[in-house]
Amino acid sequence: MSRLRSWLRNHNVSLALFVLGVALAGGVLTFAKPLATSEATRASVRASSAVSAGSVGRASALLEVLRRSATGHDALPPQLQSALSRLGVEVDITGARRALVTPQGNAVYLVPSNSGVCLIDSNNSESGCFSTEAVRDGRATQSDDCSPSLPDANTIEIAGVLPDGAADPTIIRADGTRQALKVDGNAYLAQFGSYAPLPTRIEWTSLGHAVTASAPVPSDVVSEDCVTPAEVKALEASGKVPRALGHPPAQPTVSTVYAKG
Amino acid sequence: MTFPHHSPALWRVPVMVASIVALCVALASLGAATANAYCGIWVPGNTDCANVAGGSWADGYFDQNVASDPNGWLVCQHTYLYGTGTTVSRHCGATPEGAGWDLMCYYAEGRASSGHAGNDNSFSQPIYGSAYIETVHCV
Repeated sequence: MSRLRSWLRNHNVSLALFVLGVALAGGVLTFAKPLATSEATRASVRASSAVSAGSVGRASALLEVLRRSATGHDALPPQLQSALSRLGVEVDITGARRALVTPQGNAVYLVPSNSGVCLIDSNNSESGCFSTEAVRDGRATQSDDCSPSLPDANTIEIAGVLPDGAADPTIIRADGTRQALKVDGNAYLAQFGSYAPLPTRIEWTSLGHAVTASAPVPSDVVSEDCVTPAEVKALEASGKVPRALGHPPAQPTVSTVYAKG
Repeated sequence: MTFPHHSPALWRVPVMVASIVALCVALASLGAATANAYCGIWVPGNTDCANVAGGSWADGYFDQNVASDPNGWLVCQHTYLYGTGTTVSRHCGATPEGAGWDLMCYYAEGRASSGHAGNDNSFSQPIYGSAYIETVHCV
């Protein structure tokens, strides 16, 4: 043994072993890279194709689209699998179902998760996950504005999931006007002009009772200063967009606005 | 396996090369896994976490900004082109809400962003934000 130790010392093998260990650790970190690392996601979730049958069952119990047999159209494209993994929620990729396809060809998928269901579309303008409770009480809705995935900076989009038995789904705008909301496969995706009265509520009936949920559209979308990638390039060409990273800007504290980073 | 005792200098060369490669792999992997977690506090209703005492946001180079509330209440991820006050991505929902592919072209083109997370409910809620680099694909 002492000869071995001596040999190791003479030949720097301890260094080699250390390096090997570092390499192995690096490899493990590389291939087990966290898919999202916020405190919340660290606490409870990791992307996986293996979600417990019980948790999937809870979402399926509310959503007929997840109970139907899979077809060839339901396979989630790889880029959408990657996008879902960034949200840091355990999802059952094999349980994905294509809920609807918009007239523009945007496919909306619902994917069972460990806590409910995730919604994602092939434009990737919408990607979010909802708890089973959120689906049940109408909070499974999301909005998107200022996204390169949208047709222009004056378009907002809402998307969401409605439970089985939700009849006559309707969008109610800020001025009280009502508009039928098309729902397919328990999902919806609709676009609106940001200058028109904004969608504020979604209403449907369930077992004869009206159910109303808020539409999560920020009230300041009209005044929001949105840019698209093409507009950014034009601004940069005119020298109006600083490229260098410097000190953060002053933080206004008025009203409910964001800090205009 | 035997080592070439007769020529220690020769066998040390591959070890040194392996060392450099291994350290590069380790450092690269650590970099890839790094996320800038921010906020992580209770935020009053209708307020950006950046506007709260003790609150925070993330300035830098990233292509993902995710906002979440462990209770699943409404949050918004709001990402600006750094230093301009112009929005390049905003998603609101019953969490977690991510920027999708919105930021990848900006990142790939070397533009800095400012990632924020906000409470768009009328009541206080805990909000966690995370800005990180996921990929360099610009689609």
